[in-house]
Amino acid sequence: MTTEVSLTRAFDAFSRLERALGEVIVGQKDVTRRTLIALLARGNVLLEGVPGLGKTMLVRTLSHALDVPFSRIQFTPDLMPTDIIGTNILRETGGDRRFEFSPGPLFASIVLADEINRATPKTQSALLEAMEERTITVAGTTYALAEPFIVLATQNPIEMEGTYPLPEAQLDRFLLKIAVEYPSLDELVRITTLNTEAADIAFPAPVATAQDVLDARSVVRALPIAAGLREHVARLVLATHPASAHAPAMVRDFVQYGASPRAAIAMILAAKAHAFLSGEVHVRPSDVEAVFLPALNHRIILNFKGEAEGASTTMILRDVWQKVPVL
Amino acid sequence: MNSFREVVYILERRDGRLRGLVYGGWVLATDACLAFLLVLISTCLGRPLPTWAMPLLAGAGLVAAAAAFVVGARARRPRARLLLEVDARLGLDARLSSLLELEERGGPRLFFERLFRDVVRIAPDWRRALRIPRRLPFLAAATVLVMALALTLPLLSPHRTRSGDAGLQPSPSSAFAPAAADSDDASEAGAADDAVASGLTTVDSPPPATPETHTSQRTLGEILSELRPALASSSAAQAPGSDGATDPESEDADAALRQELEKLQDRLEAGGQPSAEDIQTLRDAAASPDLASTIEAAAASSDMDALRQTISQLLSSSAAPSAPTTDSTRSDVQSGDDAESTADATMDSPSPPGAPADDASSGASAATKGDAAPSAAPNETPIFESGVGDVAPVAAPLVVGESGELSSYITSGVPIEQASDASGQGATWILSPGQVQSLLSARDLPAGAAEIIRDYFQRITEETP
Repeated sequence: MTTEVSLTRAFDAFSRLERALGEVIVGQKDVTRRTLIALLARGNVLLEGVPGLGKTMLVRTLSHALDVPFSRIQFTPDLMPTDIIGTNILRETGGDRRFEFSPGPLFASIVLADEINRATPKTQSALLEAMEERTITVAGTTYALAEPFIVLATQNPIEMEGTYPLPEAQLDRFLLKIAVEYPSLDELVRITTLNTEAADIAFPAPVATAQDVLDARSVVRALPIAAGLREHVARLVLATHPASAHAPAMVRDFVQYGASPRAAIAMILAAKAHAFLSGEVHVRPSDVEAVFLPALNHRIILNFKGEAEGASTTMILRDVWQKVPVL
Repeated sequence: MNSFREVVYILERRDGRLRGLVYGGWVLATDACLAFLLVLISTCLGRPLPTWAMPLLAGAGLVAAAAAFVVGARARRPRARLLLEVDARLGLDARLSSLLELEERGGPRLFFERLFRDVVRIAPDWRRALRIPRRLPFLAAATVLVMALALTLPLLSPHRTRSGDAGLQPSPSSAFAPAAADSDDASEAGAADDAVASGLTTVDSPPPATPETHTSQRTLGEILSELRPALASSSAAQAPGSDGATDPESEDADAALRQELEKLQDRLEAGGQPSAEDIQTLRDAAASPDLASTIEAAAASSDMDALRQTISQLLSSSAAPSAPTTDSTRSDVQSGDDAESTADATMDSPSPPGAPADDASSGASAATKGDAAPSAAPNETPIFESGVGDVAPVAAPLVVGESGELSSYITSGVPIEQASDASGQGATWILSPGQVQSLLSARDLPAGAAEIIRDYFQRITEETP
C-alpha cells in the first residue's frame, strides 16, 4: 500500500543517494542516474568505457552509500565459475567430515564484474542465473541471493585482443548498457582536485538502506504508464526487427536481430524508474525517450552489411525513434 | 471539472462531433466537386442540366453529409489514444492517459489524486484541447468555392471567351461588304450558312442582354454569340430538310405587330389622330434609327400622309421576309432582275434621313443584291459603290469558327485599313448605313437578332468622333 509517507520516504532516499553519488563521481550525471534506474528496476548494468573514467569508482561509491554488501570480481581469462559463485569444500569438524558450501563473491548485493569480457564464456555464463533469477545453483542446491541484488559489469571497448565478447543471451540480461563518456574540461579539473589534494577518496556515508531500495522498487512498479505509451514502446521494439512492418529502412538494411520482448519490459520498467527519480508519479513520453537508447543499444545485432559499413546501433536506434512517433 | 469520468465523456463527445464535421465536410466537398463536374461536362456538351439537377445534388449532398456526421460522431476513437492526444496538446505529459490507466487497471489512490490535481492546475481550459481540425475550414472553403464555380459556370458562355479570337474581330462594316464580294458562289455561301446553322444549334437560348453587353465596345464575336441561337433557330426553320416550321413566338409577335400596324393604318385612313402609344409602336417597328426619327418628325408635324406611308412600308417589309427559305432566296437573288434593279437604285442614292420610304423599301431587294456578289458580276453595282468610293471590296476567305466554317458575310469583309477614313470601322459604317439596314431586313433575321445588330451599329455610330 503506497501512502503519502512511503512515497515521500522513497523519493527522499533516492534523492539523497543521487546527491551522494554526485559528490564523488564528478559529472557523469546520466551514468549515475541510469545506474540508479537499474537499481530501482531490479536490473543489471553494463558499463562500457575506456579505463580511467570512474566506472569502478561509481560502483564502489554506490555500495558505500547504500550500506549493502559489495564485492568486486576482476574477470580474467583463467577465472572459473566456482571462483565467482562459490563451491563446496570439505570441512572437518571434530572428526566429522562433510562438504560445506563456501559462497563466492557473487553473494553480495552489489557485484562489480570488472572487465567482464576478459573471462571465458563459461565463467561469464555463470552469472546468468544470478542476474536473471537472483539465485545460484551449486551441486544441486539452489541458493537465493539477498535483495537488492545488482550486477554492475564493466567492459573496455578497446584492447579487444584476448577478450570474449559477451554472448547475446547474457547481453540481453542487462537492463541497461551505459556508455561512460569522457568528462568535460571543468569536470576533469574538479576530478583532479578531488583526487590529488585529499589523503584518500572520501566515500559517502550510507544515506539509504536496502529496505529503502526495496520500498522504492514497489513504488516504481506501481507507477502508471499510459496505454498509448505502452503501445509506443511495443512499436519501438518491433521496429528494431528487420522483418517487421514498422521497421525503417535502416533497420531492414543493417540489422540481423532486433530487440526481444525482454527489451520492452526493460524499457517500461526503466521509464518508470526514470519518472520516479524525476519526482513524478506517472510515466511521461520523455521518460521513455530517456531510457530508449540505453535499454535497446545492446540488444540489436547488426548483420554483415551493417558491420561492414560501420553502422552503429545508436545511429540505427535514433532513426527508429524518429520514424516511430508517439502519436 | 468535477471528475475524471466527466472529462473523458466530454472529450469523447467533442472528438466525435469534430470527426463528424470532418466526415460531413468531406462528403459536402465531394458533392460540390461532383456538381461542378456535371455542370462542366454539360456545358461542354452544350446540354444544360435540368433545373432540378442542382437542387437535387445539393439536397443529396446535405443528406449524405448529415449521415456522415452521425457516423463520424458515433465512431469513437480508443480512449487511450484520444487522451494521449489531449495530453500532448495541453502539455499534460500523459497525465490524463495515466489517469485512465489508473482508473481502468487500478492503482494507488494517491497517484490518482495527485495526477488529477496536476491536470486541473496545469490545464484548466482543457475543453479547448480538441481544436477544430485544420481540414474543416479547408473543406468548407473548398465546398463553397467549388459550388460557386458550379453555379456560375452556366452563366459564363464559352462562346464569349472565344470572341477574342483574331479571326472573329473584323470591323462590323467589313463583315458585310465581302458578303457581296464573296457570295458569287451562292451554293458555297449556302453551305457555309448551313454549317453555321448546324454548328450553332447547340446553343439553346441567347444569353440575356445586359447593359454591359450593349456597349459599343462589344466585338463582333460577342454579337455573333448572341445572334447564334436566333440564327440557328431561323436557319433550322428554313432548312430544306425541315418541315418549314418557324419559331411560333416570333411569328406571333410579327402577326401582332402587323395587326397593330393595320389597325393604326385604318384609323389614320379614317382621319383619326395617332396617340403616343401608336407613335411608340411605330418607332418600335421601325427597322432603322433613320426611320424612327422620320416617324418622330412626322408625328411632331402631324404629317398624316407620311405616317400612313411609313405604316404601309412597314407592313410590306414585315410581310416580305417570312416567305422563302434561305436557299430559295439565294436562287431568287441570282435570277431576280427586279430585285437587282431596285437594289441598284437604292445603292445609287443613299437614303437620307428625310426619306425613310426609300430606305425601307430598299430592304429586301438591297439585301438580295448584297448576296448577289457584285464583284463577281460585272453588270452589277457593288453594294458599297455609292457610299464607299475609296473602299475596295476584297474577296475575304472563309473563316473557320468554332463549329465549322462561318459564312463570309458575317466573319470577313473589307479590312479596316482599306477604308479611307483613319477612324476605321466607324467611318465605314457612316458611309453605308442604308446598306446595313437593308441587309438586316433582307437577311430574314429574327427580330431580336436584328435589334441587337442595329443597336450595336447605332452605338458605334454615336461613339464615332
